[in-house]
Amino acid sequence: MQHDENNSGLNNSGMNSSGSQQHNPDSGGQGESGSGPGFTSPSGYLHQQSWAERNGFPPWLLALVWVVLGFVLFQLAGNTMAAIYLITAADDAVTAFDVELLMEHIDVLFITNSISQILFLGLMTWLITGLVTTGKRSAFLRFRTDDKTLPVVLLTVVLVIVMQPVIWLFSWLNAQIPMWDGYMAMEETQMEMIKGFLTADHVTLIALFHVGLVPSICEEILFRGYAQRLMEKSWGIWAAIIVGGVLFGLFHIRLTQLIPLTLIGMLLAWLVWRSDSIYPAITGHFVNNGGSVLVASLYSDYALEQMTATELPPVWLLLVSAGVTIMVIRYIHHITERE
Amino acid sequence: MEPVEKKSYWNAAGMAGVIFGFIVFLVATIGSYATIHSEPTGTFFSGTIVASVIGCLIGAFGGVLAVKLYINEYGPELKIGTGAVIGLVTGIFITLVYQVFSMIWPVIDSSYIENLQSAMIANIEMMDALPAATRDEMIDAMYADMQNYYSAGTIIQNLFFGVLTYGLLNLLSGLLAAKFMGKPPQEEAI
Repeated sequence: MQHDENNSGLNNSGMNSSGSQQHNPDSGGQGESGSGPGFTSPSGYLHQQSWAERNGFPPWLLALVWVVLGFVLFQLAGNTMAAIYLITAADDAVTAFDVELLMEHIDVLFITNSISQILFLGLMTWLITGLVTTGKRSAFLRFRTDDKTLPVVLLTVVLVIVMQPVIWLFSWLNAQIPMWDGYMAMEETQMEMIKGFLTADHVTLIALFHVGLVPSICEEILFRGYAQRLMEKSWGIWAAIIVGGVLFGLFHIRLTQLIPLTLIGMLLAWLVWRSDSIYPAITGHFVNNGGSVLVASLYSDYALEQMTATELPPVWLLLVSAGVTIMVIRYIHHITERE
Repeated sequence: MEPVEKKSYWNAAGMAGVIFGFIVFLVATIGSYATIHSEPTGTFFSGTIVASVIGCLIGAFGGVLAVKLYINEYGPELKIGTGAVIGLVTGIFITLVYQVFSMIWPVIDSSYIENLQSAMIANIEMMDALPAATRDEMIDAMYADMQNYYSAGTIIQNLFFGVLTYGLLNLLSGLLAAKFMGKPPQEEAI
């Protein structure tokens, strides 16, 4: 199969800048026939159209709108749940914006965050995918495997580990960009809360669930499953990778980490494209986040230092990391070549 | 093969964006002057806040005008997805026009920012229900915001939230306008 920009049998379908629609079948990647209405082309081929195509929605619009709305709903729901709990559970009459109170109930914040992620980034995205494909949602979101998936997953684990010093370098570069005081104060509070949660005595497994597992599945469904697929249809793969990476970086509302997060997002997007499977991205995301949890629980001071990136890693480590990272990427590129 | 007519929505969206961007700016500026020339109330409901809400509501109708202009130009055949795109683009234009006028006005009225800042600070100082420390924090934050009125960070922030708000609102209004004012293209009707 030719590994081109349209990727795995999914034809381009969308709206051009003048608002006229191109009519192409949306196979959902697996060729299942859908149940939606369609029209017969002059060649006699019955084009199945998704709800979005029938109503003239360009794929990029549905990608961007749901990333933004999903983010807003996720934040609103998570914060509202946490605020309601804190207001009702607190002994004294306090506001939900009391930082000390939040620190005392940091576990509540992480639980509500996870619930909100599962509901809005995971399940809602899964449901909305039904509007943009006539095939199976799982196929559209690339929940599939082939003989290349396992090797790419294993190589992704290696890649994410060896590239950490490079990520650290980009964190340091990002830290050189001046930010305004109010924002820095907010981010420091956020970092203290995360550190407090990660370094608590008994929570390594729980933290792995909240910080590692839930985001790696839910965020990947949203960004690499749903949004990347739609942006690919409108703009082609490279624009989808770049825009998706930037959105992924902005999504975390950590401007001091915008560059490394964007690059990680782009790398995960590239892995999904090359492997035609979402599993390498989920694995890479989990290893990255889960690794932070493990390092923070074992070496808390070191973890905070890396989070804030006030110093550069040793040059030799950077060179080794960059070299091995390039080698692994080239190898993944090589084994995912399609005939 | 017959040439396909290009239906561009840029004119409709641009025109509606300029008109509604200016209206939103007018409403916001009137609200600011109402705040400047009124006694501090000690509540959050100042003229500026009320004007922002009204401006936001009015600005949401830009998508309707843009779709109307598009229909006037090309006829009523359009899908709701096209209406949504027209609305989104209109929202972006509204944000840009509003931002440009908001930056020009303080040049025309050089005491505008200072007067508005004084009025808003006076209003916060009257908020007796709030602890003094919270009031001080709010005043400091407001002072910093006003001092950074022309900074790149503030402009980017304004554009970001403006596109988010007006973009989504007008996307919705454009979609609804296409649903009720337009009709599906003949060859596409199922």
